[in-house]
Amino acid sequence: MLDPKLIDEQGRIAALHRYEVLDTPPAEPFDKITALVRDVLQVPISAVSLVDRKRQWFKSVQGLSVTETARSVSFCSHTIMDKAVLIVPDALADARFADNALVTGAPHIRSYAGAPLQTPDGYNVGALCAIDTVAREFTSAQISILSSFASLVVDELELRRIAQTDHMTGALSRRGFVAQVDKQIVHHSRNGGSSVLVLLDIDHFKSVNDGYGHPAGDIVLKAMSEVCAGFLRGSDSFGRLGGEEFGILLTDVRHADGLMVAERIRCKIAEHAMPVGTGLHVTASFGVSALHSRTESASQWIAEADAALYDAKRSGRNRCVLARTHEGWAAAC
Amino acid sequence: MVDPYYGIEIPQELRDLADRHQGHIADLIGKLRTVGLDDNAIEIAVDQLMGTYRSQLVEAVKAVGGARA
Repeated sequence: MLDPKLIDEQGRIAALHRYEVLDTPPAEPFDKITALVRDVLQVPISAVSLVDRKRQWFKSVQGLSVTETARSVSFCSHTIMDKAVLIVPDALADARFADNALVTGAPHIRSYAGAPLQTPDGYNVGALCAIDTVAREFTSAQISILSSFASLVVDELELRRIAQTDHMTGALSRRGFVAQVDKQIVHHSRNGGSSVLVLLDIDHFKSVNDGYGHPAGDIVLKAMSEVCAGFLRGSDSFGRLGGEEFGILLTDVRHADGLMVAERIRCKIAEHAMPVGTGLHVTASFGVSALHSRTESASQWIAEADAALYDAKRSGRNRCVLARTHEGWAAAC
Repeated sequence: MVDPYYGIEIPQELRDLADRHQGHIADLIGKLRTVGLDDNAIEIAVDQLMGTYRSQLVEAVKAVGGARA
C-alpha cells in the first residue's frame, strides 16, 4: 500500500519549509557529507538537493557550479516519490531521463543514485545524490552507505530546526530570530517595502527571580510570550534573544505603525496579571527601529533597536522609544 | 566564573536526536568497513562528521534553552 505521505505534496512542502533552510548560505556539515559521498562512491558529482514547489535547491553540491535547477529536470524529484534509493545505471537507456536536458546537455548526467531525505514524520523533503557522467552500476553496499549519509543529512537539518526554537517559551531562539531578520534584509534589498524591528526587555526581571524564584520567572517569560504572540500576524516573527529580552519583527509596516503596535503590547503587558501568586504585574521597555536603506546586516539593525531600548530603560522604563536613525525619534511614547 | 549553561534545559527532542545521530554514525562505520575502507580512513571520515555535528549540537543546546538572567 502506498504511503499517503508520499503523495501529500502540501504536507511535504510544509515539512521542507519548517527547516527554514532554502536559500541559506553553504554550511560545512553538509559540504563534508557530499565530499565523503563523492570519495566513497567515487563519483564526480554529489549534492544535497531539497525539492521545493518548482525547483530543486542545493544546500550543498560538489562537482557542479549551480545552486538550483528547475524541478521539471530534477532526478531527485523522482527519488522523493519513493522510500527506497533510486538507481539509474544509464540515463540514456531510461525512458524517464533519456531526453532530460541535464542528460543531453551539461553536466551530462549518465548515472544516478539518490537516497530520499526523509523527515522523522515521514516526508521526503529532498535527496542526497551521487551522480556520474558515465553509465555504471552501484553496489548494494554503496547504496546502503548512501542511505546512511542521507540519515546524517536529516540529522543535521533536524538539529538546525530544533536550534531555531526556544524550548521554554516556544518563541524562536536568538539564532532562529536573527535568521528571520537576515532574510527580511535580503527581501528588502530585492523588493523594497518596510519592516520594523522591536526589542523588548522585562523591567526589573531580576527582582522577580529573586523575590519569587526562578520557576516564577519562567512563568512570567511564558506569559509574556503569549501576550506578545497575540499581537502578531502570520508573517511576523517573535523570538527570545536571551534572558528576559525578546524581539519582534513586523513585516510590511512603517515605523509609525510599528511604534503603535509596540505601544499596544506595552500597555497589554502592564495591565496583564501574570499567573504568579495572586497575580504579578510587570512592565517592559521597548526599542523600535525601522529597516532603512543603510541597514546592511541583522547585527546593525538589532544594535539600532537595542540602543533605543537602552534609551527607554534610561529614561524611566515601561515605555517605547524609536531608534535615533528615524526622523522624529524624540517622540518617544 | 559565569556558567554559560546555568539554567539551560535540554529538551527531550534534542536528546533523542543526539541518540539517533550516534546510531547513524555507528551504522555508517559498519557499512564503510564492508566496502573495504581501512580503519584510518574511517576514523578520518567519522572525525569530520562528528566534529561539525558536535559544535552544532553545543550551539543548539545553548540556543534552545536560553539562559536565565
